[in-house]
Amino acid sequence: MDDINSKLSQLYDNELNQDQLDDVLKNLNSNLQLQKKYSSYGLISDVLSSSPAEKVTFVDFAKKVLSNRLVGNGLTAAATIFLTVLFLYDPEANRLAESSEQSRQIRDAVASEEAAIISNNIMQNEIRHLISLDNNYQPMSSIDLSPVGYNQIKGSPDTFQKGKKKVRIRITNNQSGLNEIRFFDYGHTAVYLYPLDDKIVSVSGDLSQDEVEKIIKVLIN
Amino acid sequence: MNEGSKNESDIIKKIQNGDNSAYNVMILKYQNRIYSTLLGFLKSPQDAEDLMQQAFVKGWQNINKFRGESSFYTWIYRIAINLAKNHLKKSSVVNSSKNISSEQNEIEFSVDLNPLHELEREQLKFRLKSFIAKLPESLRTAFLMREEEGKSYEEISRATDCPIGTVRSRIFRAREEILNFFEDEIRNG
Repeated sequence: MDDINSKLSQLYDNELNQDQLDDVLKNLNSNLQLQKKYSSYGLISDVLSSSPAEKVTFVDFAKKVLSNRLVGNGLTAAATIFLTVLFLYDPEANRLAESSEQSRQIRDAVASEEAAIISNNIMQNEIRHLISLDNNYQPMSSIDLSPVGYNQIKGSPDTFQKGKKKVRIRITNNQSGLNEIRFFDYGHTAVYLYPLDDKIVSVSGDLSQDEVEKIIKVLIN
Repeated sequence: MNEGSKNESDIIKKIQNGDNSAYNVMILKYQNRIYSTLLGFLKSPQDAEDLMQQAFVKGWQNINKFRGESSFYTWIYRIAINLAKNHLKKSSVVNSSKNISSEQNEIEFSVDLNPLHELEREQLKFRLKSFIAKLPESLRTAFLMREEEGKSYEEISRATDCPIGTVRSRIFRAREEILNFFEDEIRNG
């Protein structure tokens, strides 16, 4: 354990080599205690570097950061970002472009009740799952959602369309141990996490739970 | 602090190549500094927290625009400051006592603070520095050369005539001791 803690200190100081970096990032992203510690390193630097002239008050925030809620703080931002970029961000749009609609969605996501819930409950498994989603999802080429009226969009294998309605689906290994359905609602977009045996099906779009369950049934069959 | 050297360049490349989980590391490292900057400017803890998160979301969206010409911290700081300026414009609470120059990367604050909070922070800093002063000299020197002077392990190694492994170990041990003290201070504070 001391070894990973020592490497965390080196990471903070920008002193890791490439091989060590991969290992530490993997550990850091799966270990809440390490995340809390890493965040606290930043907090200490901030206190030490402040000058009286700055006159910034943040003791209450520091207390939050060092409590469990504090762990949640970093995770709230992380979870919000991942939910936003994975599900709300239009993959067909230029990544650098920003529409007012996207801005609105991001604002809503950031301010959402769900972000607060994630923060307060520290739903570690879901967050780990969301973080891992981006890199580990399986190609959807073999999935046929035509029984429920959705057709796969060319060039975007995880996106399906029915009229104007779009839905994004990703299937990943259930490494997080999620064992119940999770639901996140962001105004016009909802994100559902469905555990199925050793997989998790993640569905997002302007969908009711009934519609999602119809899609899940097609996937199971 | 050394803000722009090799690890961060590697992490940024990972993010730009699609490894979004690497972004979490940047959030964890810099959220507190961005938060306290925004808090000093906006006065509202809730607004500071909201805009801190928005800044990191915006940073992710635009990460391909980041060319490494400045440190990541400077870059995300500018994003945060621009968000804060827009927020204040919209809130119509900009007053002449605030002067922000993101180009110069400087902020002048004239903020009505709660004197008790200001005192708490100053006292916390004082206690932290007093604790560091009591650390064994070898740990203290290595830690402060790194934290306050921003020297690399190699530079500290040369200056103190110690192997890099010893420098690494000393900084880590100092950090562990300081973290334990800091957590106790905040919790009991």
